[in-house]
Amino acid sequence: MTTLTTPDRIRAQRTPHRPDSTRAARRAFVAPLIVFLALMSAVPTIFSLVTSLTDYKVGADTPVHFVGLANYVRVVTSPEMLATYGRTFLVVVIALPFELIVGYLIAKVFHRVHELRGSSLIRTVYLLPVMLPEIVVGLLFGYIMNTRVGVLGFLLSAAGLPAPDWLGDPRIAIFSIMMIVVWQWTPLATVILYGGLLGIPGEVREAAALDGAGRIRSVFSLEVPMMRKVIGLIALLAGVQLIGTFATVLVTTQGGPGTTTTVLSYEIYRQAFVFFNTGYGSAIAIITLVIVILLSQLLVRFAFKED
Amino acid sequence: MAVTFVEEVGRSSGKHPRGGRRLRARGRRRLSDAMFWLLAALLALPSVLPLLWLLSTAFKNYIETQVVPPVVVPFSLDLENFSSIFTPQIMGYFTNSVIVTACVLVLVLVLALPAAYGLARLNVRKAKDLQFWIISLRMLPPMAVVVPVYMMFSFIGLNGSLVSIICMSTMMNASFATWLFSTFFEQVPEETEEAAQLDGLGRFQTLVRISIPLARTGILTVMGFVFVFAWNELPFALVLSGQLTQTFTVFLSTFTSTNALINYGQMAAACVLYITPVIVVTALMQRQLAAGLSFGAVK
Repeated sequence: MTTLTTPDRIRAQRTPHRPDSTRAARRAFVAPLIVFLALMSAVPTIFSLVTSLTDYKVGADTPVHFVGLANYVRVVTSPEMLATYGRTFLVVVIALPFELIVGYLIAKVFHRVHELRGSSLIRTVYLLPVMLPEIVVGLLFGYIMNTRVGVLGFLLSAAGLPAPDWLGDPRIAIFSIMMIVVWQWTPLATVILYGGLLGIPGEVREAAALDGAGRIRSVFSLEVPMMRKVIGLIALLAGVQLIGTFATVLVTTQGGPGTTTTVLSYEIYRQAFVFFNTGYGSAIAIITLVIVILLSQLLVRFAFKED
Repeated sequence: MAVTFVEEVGRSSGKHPRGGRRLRARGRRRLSDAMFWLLAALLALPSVLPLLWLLSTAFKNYIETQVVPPVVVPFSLDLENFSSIFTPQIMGYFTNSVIVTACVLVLVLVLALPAAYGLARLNVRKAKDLQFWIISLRMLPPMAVVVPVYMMFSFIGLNGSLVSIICMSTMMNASFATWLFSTFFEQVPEETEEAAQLDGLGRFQTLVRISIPLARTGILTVMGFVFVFAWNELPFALVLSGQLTQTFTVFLSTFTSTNALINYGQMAAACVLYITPVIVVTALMQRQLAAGLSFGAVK
């Protein structure tokens, strides 16, 4: 032992019982995944970066020209594109707080009954929409919200209420899309918040109650600070989910009426694979990826940081 | 459920024949328990009612899907919708989904399991940074990812093949799985692994014979999620599949509601058929759902 040089000793202390964690073992375990992921993310990105500087159209025989940053300029100056970003932003800033607040209220109810029999089954049933394919949810609500044969309109008129054209009225179609998305994803926020509530020790609650904290006080001065990470995690997962909204739009409104429900992911699909504006579509995709990577890096580190 | 609950209320309040005031307080507590239980059940109702509507629609004949007021329970129990799906072509789409999902499950196990173990146990330099990079791949919007990928695959001539869909789905799911597998391996007591190595097991044998069996509940849960995510996947399959390689979700996307002649009964039957495995897996994973969906941040 006394013959160990300083770096060896440090290593020996740090890894006291890991005799054969050699570099070769590490490589053999970790390298295949890293190589695969790097290939699948870096190579396409290079392809896309190059294409975004051209007027390339998939499937067209026209010669390809280098157009510099023209596609990017078009993305940030086109009123249609800015409206698409705005619409996506609107979906996030309305649906995300809704999912958090309603999710929190429902989580409180579930937490109140968490020791009672049957509560686990109730939670599972409540959570089912999260596990379903987005496309099935979209198809189902397309039927339910149909003006002619949909059951939602029928129930509303039976109750003497006006039944709007959920998916056909340009003023409300985007909110109908939000309703569908929120129906599917609020349960995700709920279960994560419920887990957070379970993680607050009973003694802490009692101490707060002894200090005279009322119900409302204890929400803001106890639960919110203690669930800081959990809330960050929901913001991350729900934000990513909302920006990625695609299948719901594809099978209900196809971006219409007009372009009133054309959100970002749907616009990328339309430009790149319906109109075959591959160069332009690539530019939109790259700008979107940069925005999402910056936002999610912030949130990933915040939400998963070790204490 | 309600019946067992009521029985329990009666039984346990009868078990404590103590002083009047206390009993009354207990009774009040029981009553408020019952109220909140009912409230919780009511809150779960909006999640399940549309799904019951889907189920009922699957058994309606064409007229019943089109009439107002709508038919709630289709007593005709028409199986025509289901039999109209069991054509060789549509079952081919179903088979494609099965192939894609099976391959993704195997690839994720082969790639993510050793990598997660390595990141958790083998002192990889900058392991945390690597993990953050891996998990952030899962956070990218699929439609933005698939544009570059489409061009790469068309360059090497793999567009329209199941291989391209499998690769992309594996990428998304391996990143999710690696993150969660690592958290499970970190929970395996290090002493157990050391004892195994003192007994002469190598790193790989320790992984296979000690760590994987000890972390098996967690591993199974993750595989359950990978199954659901790969099974449900649409954007990659929609863009990367060809005529013969459509998965079932791509087939479902042809029932768009802008199409006025859509046969809702057939659509519902196809949906019911496709989500049945998902519901079975969800039921099996009941206890682990929260942990999996929060990427291990919530127990």
